[in-house]
Amino acid sequence: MKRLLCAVVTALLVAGVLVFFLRARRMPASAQASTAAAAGERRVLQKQPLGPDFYASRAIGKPAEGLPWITDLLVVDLDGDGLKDVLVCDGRLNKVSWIRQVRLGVFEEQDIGQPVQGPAHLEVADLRGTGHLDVLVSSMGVVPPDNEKIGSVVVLENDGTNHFTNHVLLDNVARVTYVQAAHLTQSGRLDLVVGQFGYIEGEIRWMENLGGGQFKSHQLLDLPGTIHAPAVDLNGDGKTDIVALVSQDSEEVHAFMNDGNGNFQDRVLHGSTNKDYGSSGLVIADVNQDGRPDIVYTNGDGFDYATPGSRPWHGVQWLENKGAGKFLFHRVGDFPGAFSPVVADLRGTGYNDIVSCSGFNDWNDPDAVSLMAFENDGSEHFTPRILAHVPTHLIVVKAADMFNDGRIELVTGAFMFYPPYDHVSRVTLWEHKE
Amino acid sequence: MAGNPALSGSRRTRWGLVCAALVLGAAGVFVIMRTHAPRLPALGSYGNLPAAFGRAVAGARLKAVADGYPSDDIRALARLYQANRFNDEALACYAILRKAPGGLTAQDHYYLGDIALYQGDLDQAILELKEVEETEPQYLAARLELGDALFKSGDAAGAAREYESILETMPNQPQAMFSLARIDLMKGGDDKAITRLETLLTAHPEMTSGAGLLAQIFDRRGEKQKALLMTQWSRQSPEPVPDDPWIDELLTNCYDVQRLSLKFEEYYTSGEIDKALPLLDRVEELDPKSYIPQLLRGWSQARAHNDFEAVAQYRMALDKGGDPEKICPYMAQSLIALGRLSDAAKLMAEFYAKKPDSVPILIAYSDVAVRQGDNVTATVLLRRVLEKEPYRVAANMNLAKILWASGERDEAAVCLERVTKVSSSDVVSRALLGEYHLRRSEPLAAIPPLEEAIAQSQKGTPAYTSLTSMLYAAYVEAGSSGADADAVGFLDKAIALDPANPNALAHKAALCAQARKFADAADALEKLRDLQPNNPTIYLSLGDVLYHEGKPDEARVDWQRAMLLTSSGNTALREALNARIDAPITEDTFR
Repeated sequence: MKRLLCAVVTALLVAGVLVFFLRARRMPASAQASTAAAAGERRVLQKQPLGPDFYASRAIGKPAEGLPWITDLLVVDLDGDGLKDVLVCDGRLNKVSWIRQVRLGVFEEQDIGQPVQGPAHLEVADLRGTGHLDVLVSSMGVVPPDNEKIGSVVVLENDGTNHFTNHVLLDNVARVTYVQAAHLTQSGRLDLVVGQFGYIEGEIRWMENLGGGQFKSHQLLDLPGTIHAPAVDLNGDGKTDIVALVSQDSEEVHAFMNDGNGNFQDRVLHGSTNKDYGSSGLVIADVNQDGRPDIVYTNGDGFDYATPGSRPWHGVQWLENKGAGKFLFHRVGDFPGAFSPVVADLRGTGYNDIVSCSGFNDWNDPDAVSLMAFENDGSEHFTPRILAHVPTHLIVVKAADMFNDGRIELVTGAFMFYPPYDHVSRVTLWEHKE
Repeated sequence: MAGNPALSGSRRTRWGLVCAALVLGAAGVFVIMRTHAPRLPALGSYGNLPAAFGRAVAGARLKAVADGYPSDDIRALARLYQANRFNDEALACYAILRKAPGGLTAQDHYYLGDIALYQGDLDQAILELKEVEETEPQYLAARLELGDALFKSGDAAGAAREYESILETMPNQPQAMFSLARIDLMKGGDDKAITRLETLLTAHPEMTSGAGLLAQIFDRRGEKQKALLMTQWSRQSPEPVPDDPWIDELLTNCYDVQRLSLKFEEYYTSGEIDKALPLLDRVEELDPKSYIPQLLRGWSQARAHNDFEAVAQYRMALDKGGDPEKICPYMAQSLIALGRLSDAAKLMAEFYAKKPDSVPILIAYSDVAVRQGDNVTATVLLRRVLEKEPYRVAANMNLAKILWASGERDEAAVCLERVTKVSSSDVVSRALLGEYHLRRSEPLAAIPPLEEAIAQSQKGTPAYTSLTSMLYAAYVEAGSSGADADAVGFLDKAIALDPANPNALAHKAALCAQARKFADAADALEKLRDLQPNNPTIYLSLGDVLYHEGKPDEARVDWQRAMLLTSSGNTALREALNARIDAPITEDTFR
């Protein structure tokens, strides 16, 4: 009996040591990829479990007028004052506005630039080398489906004194849903990646910066449906590649591999044969913190039917970058109407969680979820944690340490497109209660 | 030997042992059988499906158990689960079948492939679909699915081989040709892709996705006419869904109303009515209380312009308790199409009374009231719509027009401003806004909307002429006040807009003369003179300006010309001219 007891205790001790070392190996080094935690930022461990009580929400910026159509948000310190601001695309009022954090936790909103028709996506870059961030706006022309060539790329040029002037870089093209500045060649100038959803026709192109405000377009893909097309060095060769999520019956994730001189080779990384998959958003992040950028994307678009709403196949997935050009598909979880994936360590555990919001759910059902976190146990097994049921119709969520205190907040934007409209919001900040 | 107690005791013991052995043996056989019996998925709760599904599953399980787990029964259970998206349970059944005599059929592998695709496991899907190809190479849907799965997994070369092999037996198979065209494009083979797509459209003109892709290619290559033709081609109804009898068979086991409804819409939208309508019948059979079949029948009838039948279906949907917010707008549209405005109004009033805050009902009701010409009701409703959706274009325009006609132009202007904010191309709102500001003598506010409206309008049309006239008036008013630093600029714009109109020229001349910019004034007067060569006052003014510019001789010529053109009865003008021509000139001369 004694021997048995000793054996059991020894076994338990050995197991404990093994578990300790295994988990120690999983402790992350400084992340390099674009999660909400930049390298070196400290994280504060949150004891509160992820759930509906994790955040308190409040509206920031101007109050909702009617039924807002917020199409995108971007968290960025636009004026370089050390406080993070929120840039907003309003797809109904055709404008871009700046919710400026004037003091810690205090926000004021102002419109910037002239109207932009159907703004769909925002990025910032010092495009002209002035030392100030310009705002790149993807203009669809109109947000509802339309095959006309009414898209454009507009830059709101920043004069450094909080004044922005519109300058159109491309127009009269299939509706533009994504534009980002990136060094795609050796020229030292910032080129542009442009995704054009269009409708029946659409494309992806990159615009080579020739200097002097001149750009030359090179087409990459002749398909409609591009949602996002971020630029990233996918294989670690020092050259910036492009990853694109293409919907509209294609429902594919493409990688355009760059030889460094702007010659791109297209390949499909993963796709669905379900033409109603509803691809809705893509982000690049090192989910498992192995130093290789992974791809996280959502499918939740349920608009194009007699009865808009959720579908049972909606949810979140990630493509794990295994290196050598191999990507492994993982389903994170089901989530009706999923949009806007975000990767962030919400609780300061050192593991990257995934957040998504719902733009198309059954809003007649009080249990329908509008904001969800998928909590990472450290081995990339994700458990869904409901963050909120209201407000509803959330089409975009971003994560950032808004108050520079080591804790991650969320900001959401609402796109009120179909009834019921019982829980209207516009731009909402989700902050920690204490 | 009767009555020997020792002997009967041992016999009892032997019999007892035999019985015990038999019982133990039976128990052992039972345990062995239970251990080796297939493990069917446990019965669950299927709250989101009609009760009939639960009964069907229970019945199928009972049958399988009672019959000793024959493969056909397990197969039926698998398909029942799969048709209703209980894929884990279906997989458990297929696992049983895999080990059973006969194993999996091609159709089983196809269904397993379908599950793998649903779960995003392309590698597994490819394995299953290759199994189908081995045993049923003629099943086209599986081969197309295999090609697609290979392509989506990144194996474009493998996909191309699959599509090519399809074309060997089925030349011009449309989906294979389209997919190969995509692969051609990935490899930079524009010409090859174009040839393939053109061949595709010749053989299958219904392949509108092919036309869309061709339009994009031609547009990229700058072949605009061809692109336009293909764009128009691509706007016909979507191409038919490829035949897939095995999936159709699976759907006969479907109890999921949403799945059936979505499939109905897919078939209906691509024009396959014969396949679409039975699905609605099934929905109705499954859930007699559901209003979805009536709603979708109404929707499909309306799209076919059978509005009478559509209205009847919508009414049935409402009677079944369907959501009026979804149904009433559709029903109102059909009643309007039938010209039954009073019926539409009655319907909307009924549901407005029940749901006065519903935005879809408000919008539909206001639309009916506008069409009826019931401005009182329309105004109330439109104001309510705009309280909730201040930037709704149609509501703003409808209210603006009613208010404009009744003279409440200030409120109308607010509506029009909102329209201009959200619609970059609306001309009417801008025209009315321009007119509003002009009437209030606010030319600077009138100019921007009028300029935007003209930019959207076609030259030579009555609308363009009217807008031009208003904008001209705004420019002249803005310019002639002289107060704005851009005053002359506005007058120049007016002149550019309508060079044949003397008004702006006259104002510019006066403004420039007042500002002592005599050269500019002379330039304007000379243009005015060209327009009205027999107008003596122009020559008078021109002469004055030239004189002040330091050109007295030229001035005299113009004054003399003016005198020649002045009638003898115009004594005031003749005196003014005489003062310039005959008498010495002082500053008083020009007063």
